[in-house]
Amino acid sequence: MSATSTNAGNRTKIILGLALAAGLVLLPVVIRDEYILRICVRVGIYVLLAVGLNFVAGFTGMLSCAQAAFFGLGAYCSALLSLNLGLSFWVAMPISGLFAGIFGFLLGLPAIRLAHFYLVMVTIAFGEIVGLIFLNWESLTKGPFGLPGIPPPQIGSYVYMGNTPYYYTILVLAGLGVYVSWRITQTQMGKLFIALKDDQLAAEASGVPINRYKITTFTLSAIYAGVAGSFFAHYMTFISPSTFSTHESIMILAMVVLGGMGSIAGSVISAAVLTIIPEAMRFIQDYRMMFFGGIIVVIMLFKPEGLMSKGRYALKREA
Amino acid sequence: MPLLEIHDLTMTFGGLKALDRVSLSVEEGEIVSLIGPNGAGKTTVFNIVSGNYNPSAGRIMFRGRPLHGQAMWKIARQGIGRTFQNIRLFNSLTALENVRISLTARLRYSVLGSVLLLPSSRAAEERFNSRALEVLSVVGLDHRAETVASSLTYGQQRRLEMARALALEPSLLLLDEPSAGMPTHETLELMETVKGFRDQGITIFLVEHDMKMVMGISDRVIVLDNGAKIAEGTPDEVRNNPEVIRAYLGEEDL
Repeated sequence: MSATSTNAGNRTKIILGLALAAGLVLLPVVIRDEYILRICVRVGIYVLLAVGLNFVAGFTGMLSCAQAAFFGLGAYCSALLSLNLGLSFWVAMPISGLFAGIFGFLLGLPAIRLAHFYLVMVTIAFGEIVGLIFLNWESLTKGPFGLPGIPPPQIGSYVYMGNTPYYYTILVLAGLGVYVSWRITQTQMGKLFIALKDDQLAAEASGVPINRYKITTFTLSAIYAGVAGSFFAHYMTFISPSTFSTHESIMILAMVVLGGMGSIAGSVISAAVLTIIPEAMRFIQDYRMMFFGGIIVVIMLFKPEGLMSKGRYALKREA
Repeated sequence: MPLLEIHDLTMTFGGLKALDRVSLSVEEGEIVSLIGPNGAGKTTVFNIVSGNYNPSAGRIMFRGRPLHGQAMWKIARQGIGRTFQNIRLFNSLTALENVRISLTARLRYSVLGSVLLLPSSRAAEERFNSRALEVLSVVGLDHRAETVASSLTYGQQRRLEMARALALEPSLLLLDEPSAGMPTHETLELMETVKGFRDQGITIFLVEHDMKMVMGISDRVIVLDNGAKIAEGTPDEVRNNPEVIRAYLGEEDL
């Protein structure tokens, strides 16, 4: 089972890839239903969140439950920059990404030195603290009332309306996120991340300054979440603390785990599946979360390595 | 000055004294074997030297400078490579990629440049690949460069682990039971390989149970029992030492 591919296999992959790309680009032309487009935008946001978290939880195997906190930090940063300083989305977004990234770095500093269980706890604690700050720093965030009136993105004189322009924007952002993530796996740093997950001790014995790289994954995943948060703020035009909860973080973590930790494609598919299913089940509103939880349980029972465990970098269970 | 000096090394785990004032030295260019019954503390010595454990007491000097207390990765970068008793490979990565990990210390590259696909990073990746391939050919695994580590045979995996340690360009190699699980003909090959490393100027410090190998390639043998050094000398001296024989009573190979 060596990792080689045939020319025919490559050609099939390219054709499928192009078909997928074409499908994604033409989607809003074919599907005019705003409700479905809204779901697609949400999928895009979660793809960005999950692929970002994949650096920490997938590549290096640290189960961080703080992704929603970085999501919120990006959202609030972008919203406040626009509302208070009049910055446009296009300027606020990269700043928000970096802003969240700094917090990712700060959380990483202590978190990476902790064994699994304690790392989970510390990241949850971080998320809770950030949530409390959103809730209580009322002079800045308006607390539980949230921030309304966040300006939608604008290109020249065209102001975003309907779901279609948002769809294309998140398609580009998520696409870029997936591309960068994939590029990293092709580089030395990506291999280092995977080595850290496979055998941290061996990596250390091979001269790898593991802390440096573990912190880098935290920073990267926070940047992704920050960018997603900024987009989210200008898409919803209203944000409030309740969105950025530990529960949300765990859902995003579930996407990474179910997709096969480390597999980028797995994170993407998982994000799509776990976003669409609760929406599709809206008609059973009250029991929605029960079905969602049930699906997770079923997958963990029958395919615990995740959906895409065949992926090269996915977590492999010992037999 | 010896390459490696261990002075009064003591290691206590809770109530258990794993090492009790062990002192030894390894001269440059030697092949030294550390032997002893199971539980004697041999791997503990390796774990302390490589920086995995902090000794409870005692000093480790490498080229005359203190080694103890330093981070494991820094020790590795000073030119001390090691293999593990239970093979520790990066199972998701190919043989080539496994070796590349050790090259992080040696080769320069820019993270941002790689992500943006700058030509300078392409060149860097090429350097990583060609250097890793060189090291793989030293252990005869270049034809398996693209094979995922978990798919290699046991013997190939052992060789890969050595290649990964070699990529650090070490002056000292710590080999922890390299012949474990190997059939005789592979052990003979291994002996030649290790001697080859020494001929390249690498000092070898070896933990071994296979007495054919120990007696066959060692310049000196050091014997531990219950955390203490009980004998030291040439293979012949050690083989005939009554203390050593008593410690091994019940073992067949000596």
